[in-house]
Amino acid sequence: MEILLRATVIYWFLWLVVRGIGKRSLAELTPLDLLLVVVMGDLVQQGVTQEDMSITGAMLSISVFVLWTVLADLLGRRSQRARQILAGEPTILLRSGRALMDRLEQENVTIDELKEKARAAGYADLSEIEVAILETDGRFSFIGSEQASGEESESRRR
Amino acid sequence: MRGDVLFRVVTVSLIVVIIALAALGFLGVSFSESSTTSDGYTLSVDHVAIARPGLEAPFSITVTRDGAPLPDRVTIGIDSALLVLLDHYGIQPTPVESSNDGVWTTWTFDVPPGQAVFAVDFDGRMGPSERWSHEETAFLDIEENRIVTNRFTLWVLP
Repeated sequence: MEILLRATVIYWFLWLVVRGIGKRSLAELTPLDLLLVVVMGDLVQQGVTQEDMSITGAMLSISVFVLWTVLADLLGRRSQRARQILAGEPTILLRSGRALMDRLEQENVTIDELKEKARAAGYADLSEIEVAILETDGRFSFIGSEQASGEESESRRR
Repeated sequence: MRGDVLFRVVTVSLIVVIIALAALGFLGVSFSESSTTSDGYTLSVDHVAIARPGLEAPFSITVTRDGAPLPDRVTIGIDSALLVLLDHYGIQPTPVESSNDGVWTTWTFDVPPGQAVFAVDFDGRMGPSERWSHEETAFLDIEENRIVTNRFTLWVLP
């Protein structure tokens, strides 16, 4: 029974940590982040199973993690509010070619980083982008000005 | 596609069953009491019923005499095999004599005068390589006569 509680506490603590470190860190691991991930696995194992050397103990802790993941996923699909709390919300970083500096600061994204991501997505300059979004999993999405105006005129024709 | 959904449902159901079994104590660690009475003496063994390798497996043996105090000296014995299961163990109070003939391990204790109940506590931890069911025996000897024998079973989950 104790292992169930330990695994539950660790699961939600990890959720808190992952939500707390920000979306950008989820997609890109710095060498320090990578080190943290590797070390964290070992620390978590000790905290959850302690001296339990059994297969049963390993199955139990894994089962608790999987069950919470399934339940969180289920809850997220049923309720938008729950999804916002559990996974966060996408953040708009740029609108009509203008970077929203407060949002960038909030998400620990530099303007240079945004430009780099934009170039990687095929945009030479931020002015070519209508909207840039930092998704909940840390990925960047870009909607080009041409693409946006094309969609707009399409919707006007309809 | 339907097979995938079925597989997912079966997997989640299995996980729920595993967690439910653990929450109900069927996957250890759980304890049980086994008691036998003979000639006015009762030998009770509080032992781990379902154990897991690496976790604590304490047990205690209590001798009770109905209507009269215990003699000055009692000898308590158990299967030596039970001690082999444990990684290490401690015994409280300290016996005045102890012996092990390979089959039985016995300890002789001085009982304070006028005492009708005498308890011995063993503090142990289940060894990492033990599995499945173990039939164990505890007994009480008074003046080299076997007075009570108590048999009990413990399970060690893999």
